[in-house]
Amino acid sequence: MRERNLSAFRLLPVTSPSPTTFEAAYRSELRGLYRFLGRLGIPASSLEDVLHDVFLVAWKKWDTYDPSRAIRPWLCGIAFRVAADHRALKRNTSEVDELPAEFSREVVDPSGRVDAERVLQRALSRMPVEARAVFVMHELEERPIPEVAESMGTLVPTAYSRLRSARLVFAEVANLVAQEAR
Amino acid sequence: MSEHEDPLSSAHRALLSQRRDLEPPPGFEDALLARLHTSMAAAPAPAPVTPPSSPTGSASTAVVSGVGVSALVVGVALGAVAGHAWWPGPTPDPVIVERVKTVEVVREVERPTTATPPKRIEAKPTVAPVDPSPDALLAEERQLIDVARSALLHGDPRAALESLNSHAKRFPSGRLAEERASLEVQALVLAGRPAEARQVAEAFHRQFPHSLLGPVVDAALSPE
Repeated sequence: MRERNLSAFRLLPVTSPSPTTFEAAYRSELRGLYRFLGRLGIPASSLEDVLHDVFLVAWKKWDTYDPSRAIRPWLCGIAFRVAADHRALKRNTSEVDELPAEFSREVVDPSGRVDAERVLQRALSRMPVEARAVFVMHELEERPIPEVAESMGTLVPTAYSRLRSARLVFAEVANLVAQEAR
Repeated sequence: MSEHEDPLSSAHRALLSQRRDLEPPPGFEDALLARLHTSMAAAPAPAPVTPPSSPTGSASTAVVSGVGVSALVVGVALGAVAGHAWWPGPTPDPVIVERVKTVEVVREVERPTTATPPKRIEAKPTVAPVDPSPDALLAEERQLIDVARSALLHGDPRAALESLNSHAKRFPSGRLAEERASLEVQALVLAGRPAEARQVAEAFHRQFPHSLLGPVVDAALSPE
């Protein structure tokens, strides 16, 4: 079998992140993505699988990341799409929006105190997924709306509109719970 | 109520502030990273190979000028190499690894088992472009950075700094300038030149305020 003249080829390696850069991204962003996906309704039992898929997609699509910009919006966009696919698969099962065991308490305890975490979970479960994502990123993760819009691949006015819808849902749930506590 | 008007009262916000933080359980982070290592090593190349005439807009495309069939096979070879040369652990000389893999795979292409006729290969002789493409320049940058990284891993800061200096001269504003600066800090620390390392680190933070390598740079300066 004859040798090819490889000097005639210009061999250009794929642009993949170095282990240092990728692991740095992983270490710095994992916790935030864990919280984000948990608040989007991914059950605790599925978080490892979903996060694995998120980072694998990020690794494969690393060439689309602009290193002059913060990485968090880009990763959140990937996480949202992966989570949306996961929720679509789990839509008809009881896994969607299940709470971790330690949160399975009444919203109002016998002394009349409101369990804030329960209120939040109840409100989140009532939001459309896009509004929920905006609410989680802006209200809970304190990301500015322009960054949230970038993550969602949407316009800023759309993000504000979704935020307003989500806030109204939260306010309604919180008000109902406050009435239960009286 | 305008879209920017906030329907949440101070009581609502107080409730939000009392939420629990969701945190990964102990061991989760390292276990998931180990799982990712395995998946990435087994995964195919991050991006498909396309012919040079097809604009892709993707910097991760592996391109071989001229030859369609061989380009596909070389892309596969490079993908297999990329999965192992970059991840994980000490990196062998990537240039040598890539060449070896490519020779082996090209031989396989020449067996008459595929549907693509050999004359199609001959019809498009390869021609090296006069002006390097952006991807070719990036490949050169990465080779210099990889040599430096490998030298550091082998405890040779002098060799690392030589390669980094070559990169700085050839690509003063290169796409891997961020990685160069990060490695330079590490190499200077290893070479026993902490004052210079601190200067480079300060310049690094000014130039790359959002860099993922910021913690790596800071860790290099911190005494153990």
